[in-house]
Amino acid sequence: MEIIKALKESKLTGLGGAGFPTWQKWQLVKEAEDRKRFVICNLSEGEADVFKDEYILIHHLKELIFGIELAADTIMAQKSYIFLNDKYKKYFKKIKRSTSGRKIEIFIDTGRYLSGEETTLLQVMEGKLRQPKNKPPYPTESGLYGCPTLVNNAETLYRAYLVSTGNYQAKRFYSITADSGKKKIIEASVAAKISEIIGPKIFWSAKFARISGPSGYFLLREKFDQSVDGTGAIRIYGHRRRIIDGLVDSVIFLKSESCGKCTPCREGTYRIAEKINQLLDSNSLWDRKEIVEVMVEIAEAAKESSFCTLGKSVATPVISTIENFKQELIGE
Amino acid sequence: MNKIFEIKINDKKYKVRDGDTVLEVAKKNKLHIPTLCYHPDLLPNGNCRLCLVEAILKDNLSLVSACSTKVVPDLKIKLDTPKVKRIRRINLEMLLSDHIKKCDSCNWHDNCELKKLAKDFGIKESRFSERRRKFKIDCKTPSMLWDSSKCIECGNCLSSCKEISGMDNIETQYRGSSIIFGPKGGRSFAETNCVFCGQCILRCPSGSLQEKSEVNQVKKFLARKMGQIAVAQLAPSTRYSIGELFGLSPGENLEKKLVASLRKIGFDYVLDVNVGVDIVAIEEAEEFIERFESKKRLPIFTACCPAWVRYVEIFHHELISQLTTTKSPVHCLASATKSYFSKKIKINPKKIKIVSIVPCVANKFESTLPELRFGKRPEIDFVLTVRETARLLKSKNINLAEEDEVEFDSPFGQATGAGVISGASGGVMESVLRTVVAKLSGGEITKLQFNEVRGLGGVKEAIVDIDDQNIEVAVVSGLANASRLLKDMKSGVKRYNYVEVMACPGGCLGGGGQPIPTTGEIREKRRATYYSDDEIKPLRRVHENQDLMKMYEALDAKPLSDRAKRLFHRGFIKRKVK
Repeated sequence: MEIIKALKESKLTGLGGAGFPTWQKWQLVKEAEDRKRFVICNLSEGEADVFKDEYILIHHLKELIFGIELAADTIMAQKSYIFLNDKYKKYFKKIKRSTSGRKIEIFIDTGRYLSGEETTLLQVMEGKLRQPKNKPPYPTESGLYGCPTLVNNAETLYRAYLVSTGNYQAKRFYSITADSGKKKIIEASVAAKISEIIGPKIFWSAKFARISGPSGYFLLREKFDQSVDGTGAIRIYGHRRRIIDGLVDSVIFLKSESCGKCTPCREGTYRIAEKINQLLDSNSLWDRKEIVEVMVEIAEAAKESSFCTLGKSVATPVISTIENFKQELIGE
Repeated sequence: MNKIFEIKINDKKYKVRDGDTVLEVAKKNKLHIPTLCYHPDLLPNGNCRLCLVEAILKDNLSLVSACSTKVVPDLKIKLDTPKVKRIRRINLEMLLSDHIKKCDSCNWHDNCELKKLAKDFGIKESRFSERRRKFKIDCKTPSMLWDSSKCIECGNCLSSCKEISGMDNIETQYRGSSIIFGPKGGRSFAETNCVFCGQCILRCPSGSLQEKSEVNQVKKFLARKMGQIAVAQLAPSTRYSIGELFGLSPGENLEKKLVASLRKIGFDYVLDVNVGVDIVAIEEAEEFIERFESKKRLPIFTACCPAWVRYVEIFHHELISQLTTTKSPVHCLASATKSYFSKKIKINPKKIKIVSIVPCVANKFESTLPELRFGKRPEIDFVLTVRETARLLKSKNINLAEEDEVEFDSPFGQATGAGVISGASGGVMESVLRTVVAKLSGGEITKLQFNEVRGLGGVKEAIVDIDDQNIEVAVVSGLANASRLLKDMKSGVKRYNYVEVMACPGGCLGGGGQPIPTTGEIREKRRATYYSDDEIKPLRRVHENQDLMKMYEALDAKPLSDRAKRLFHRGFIKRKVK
């Protein structure tokens, strides 16, 4: 019980995007009735702009393994898995070496955006269709092969280990991509402002930024005094870039990474991409206004009626662009 | 016992049982929720997002899909709020523009769910362009037609193949929003292990999967017969369901009207496949008695279902020797027609063209097999499903409900009740047992009803005792159930002497060629009339059918004699698993 209490006090939340309180998830699995349990370390990291898990693999692998073992001990799991994206296959030997002698198995997946969603991840591990499942039951009740399963992001497990050793200082990793494509990881406080995280040099080179990857939102430089949640990804767009470029990036990614299960996400992403092209080609202000209206309508449908959280997040980039940059988009 | 509690729908209280979904509750209380991908035979997958409702639980408002959301205490549901309507509408609009409309050739022509929804929502013109420019069409197999341009990616075909047939011949291809569902490998059903049961066709709401139509060939033939004789043969279960496509209720026996209308459009003779079933029953009964007494090659499996035969030929080579060698009823009748009937009317069998009207898609494939030829020509020249037959009649402006009533041509005399019940799972078994029991007991036992093998259950078992011998039988419908039973038999948990397998749930009455929609409720309605029609038949045991015996005499054959074997029996081929 000690560690769960410590996690509760530390206010650690899931760092994979959804931000569910970690202690609560652990508690749920621990209290589940089924005796057979699993821990899965989610190292799928299929979203663009995020590379903190890779950073952990390189620099903090030992702590991560300890974190997995800690979770397994706490919830009394039979076995743990590392769900590894195959773009990180080059670290396979390294992980194998450090997990030897432990009850940890590595599962390599072809790596898609959606595998990061926990029910899809479980479907993939069970060899089923790469599409999300109905919730409830949540994986904490009925996960891998119907057993209670704790699915945590790699960084969450790493931070949980830090909590257990008393070294957790409410910090997290931020993945920063500059306009030039240069990437770096910065560790900063969970409540830090964007301007503090990225530092003055990048700050002044930015026109706007995309927060939390393709399914995240866009912010103008004036609003860089906010903090970052979700996956902790910040992508900077420079002064020469148009807001529509950012939106196109996001939508094209989402369109090709949708699992195709439900209508609003599968058709919606396709139609939004189509409407953006029409927007770029259109010369009439009247038309452009109408196109934006349709985009809002589709985004609302995706937000309200998609099957999984990733489908719901399709709306975020679209709505945030239209809300914050409507003038630029329509070109009044 | 499930718990019973109350939930609120549109501020009205309803009693519900734990485990029900919101959609089930709404249906029970006659509240309308639009659905598209929902099918009562399948587990809900929640893909189309049209059955959205507003759900309020502990002050948390969210939109959920009614088909997959289970009720919980204190749940409040709002059915048609403006927001729900707006979002349903845009989802439907996007689905419609994903579907290339080829309405005139579609299975759903008269009762299209998509069209109906578009009308309900008042969608007149789409704000989106047609999105599928490149698409695939597969018509390589004799049975299936797959047109991906109509697919709305609901995934029902994949669920049907998995849940009902226990196979995985359908998979998804491409990623993201260009995903499509289609045959494994992405090209053709010819490259899969598909057995052509057609269950996916019954559950495809967009008409993307259909049977390969032979309507035009039949029309062409009827228009220019060139001195040939056109013979139509009607399978037992077709006459009970075809009325559904003409607005009549399921289970109505329309054989006389069908005969009249088929004559009208140019068929010279219309024959009853019930005679074929009689031949099958008597041949199979003899075969069973022979094998049962010598205790060789037991258990004996029926082979009247072409999809099941193909399933064995592909997946269970060890069972091939245990299949009864009797052909399927349609082929037995076709064989008798081309041998006995042609002699009777003094016409060269080459000049007889047989159009078989069946509730089956696999029959189309079966009729092309080299093992099933009469001389060098196929025994059956064209195969029409119930849906195709209705389309053919409609194209000739025939409304079945208003036709006259005409009797079948009966060159073979009358048929027993065996044929009538063979449309339901357990029917063939029951007709065979009637004869077997009477023969084995020397006429002492005259049992006519075997209630244990009736009904729509997936697996039914019975023990029939005659003197001191027990015949243990099993009746299975649905290939997923069959594969489970085979596993049990292999491991020795279950032992039988006689097993009947039908690939479609409920037997031919749930066949892949039956009218759409086919649900459990409709199947039950179709089934109910079969047994009442059997009861009023004067003859119910095939070996007492004197007309049939006359035919055997004229053919200079006896059941299971060499001549009968040449006409009514077949061989099987080991096929490779792909």
